[in-house]
Amino acid sequence: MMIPSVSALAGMAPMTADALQVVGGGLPPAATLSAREVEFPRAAGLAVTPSVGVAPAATAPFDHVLGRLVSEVDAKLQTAEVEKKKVMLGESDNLHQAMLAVGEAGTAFSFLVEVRNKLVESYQEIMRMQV
Amino acid sequence: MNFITGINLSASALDAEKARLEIVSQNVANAQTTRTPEGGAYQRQTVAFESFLAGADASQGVRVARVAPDTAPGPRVHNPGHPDADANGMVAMPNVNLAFEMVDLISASRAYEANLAVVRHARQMAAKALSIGK
Repeated sequence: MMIPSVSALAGMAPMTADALQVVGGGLPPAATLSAREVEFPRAAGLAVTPSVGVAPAATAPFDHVLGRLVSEVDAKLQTAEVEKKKVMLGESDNLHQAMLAVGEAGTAFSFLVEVRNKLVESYQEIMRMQV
Repeated sequence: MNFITGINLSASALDAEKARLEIVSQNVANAQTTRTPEGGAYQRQTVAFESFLAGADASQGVRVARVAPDTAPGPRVHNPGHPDADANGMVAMPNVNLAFEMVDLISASRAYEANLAVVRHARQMAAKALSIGK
C-alpha cells in the first residue's frame, strides 16, 4: 500500500501553480471562467480532460524530487535572509516583505519535513516486510 | 513557486498601501507649508493605483501608477505679517484638508490589514494542507 503512494509522491513533484492547474483537469485559465464554472466544471458543461502535465512528471527520477525540494527551500531561505538584512540595514522600510519571505520559507520547510516523514514511513514499511 | 497562495499579489498590495500611507503622512506634515522649491504653497499629493500582470498565470497585482498633485487651489488667508504674504497681505495656504487626510489614512490602514488577513488565511490553509500527511 505504501509503494503506490511513493510513486504518487513522485508524480506530485512539479508543484508549480500551472502544474496544479493542469492537475485540476486541463481547464482554461481561471480568469476566463465564471465562478460557477470554476467550482463545478462538469456541471457547467466544460470538458474535464485528464491532466497533461502528470505524465511527463511521473517519469522524473524520484531522487531528484527531494533534491529539487531541498534546493527550493534553500532558495526561499536565502531570499528571506536577504530581505531581513535589507530591513535591518535600513535599505528597505518594507517590513512586510521580510515577514512574507520568512513565512513562505517556513511553509516550504514544513512541506519538506512532511515529505521526509512520508519517505521515512514508506522506507520503514518496506523494511518491515517479511522476506 | 509559492506555497502560500497569492502571496505575490498581497505583497504588491501591501507595498501600494504603504506608499499611500507615506503620501498621507507627507500631506499632513506639509499642511502648513507656504513655501516649496517650485514656488507657491504646498499642493496636496494624490496617489493612483493601477493593476499589472504579476505572474505567468495572468494574476493581477497592484502598484502605484503615479503620484500627482491635486491642482485645486488652497485657501488664501489674510496675514500681512507672514514672511510669504504677497502685496495684498494674503498668504496662499496648502489645499490639505486634515479630515480628508484622516479618512485616507484610515482607509489605507484598513486595506493594509485586509491584505494581511488574506496572507494569514492563505498561510493557515497551507498549514492545514500539510496536516493531510500527518
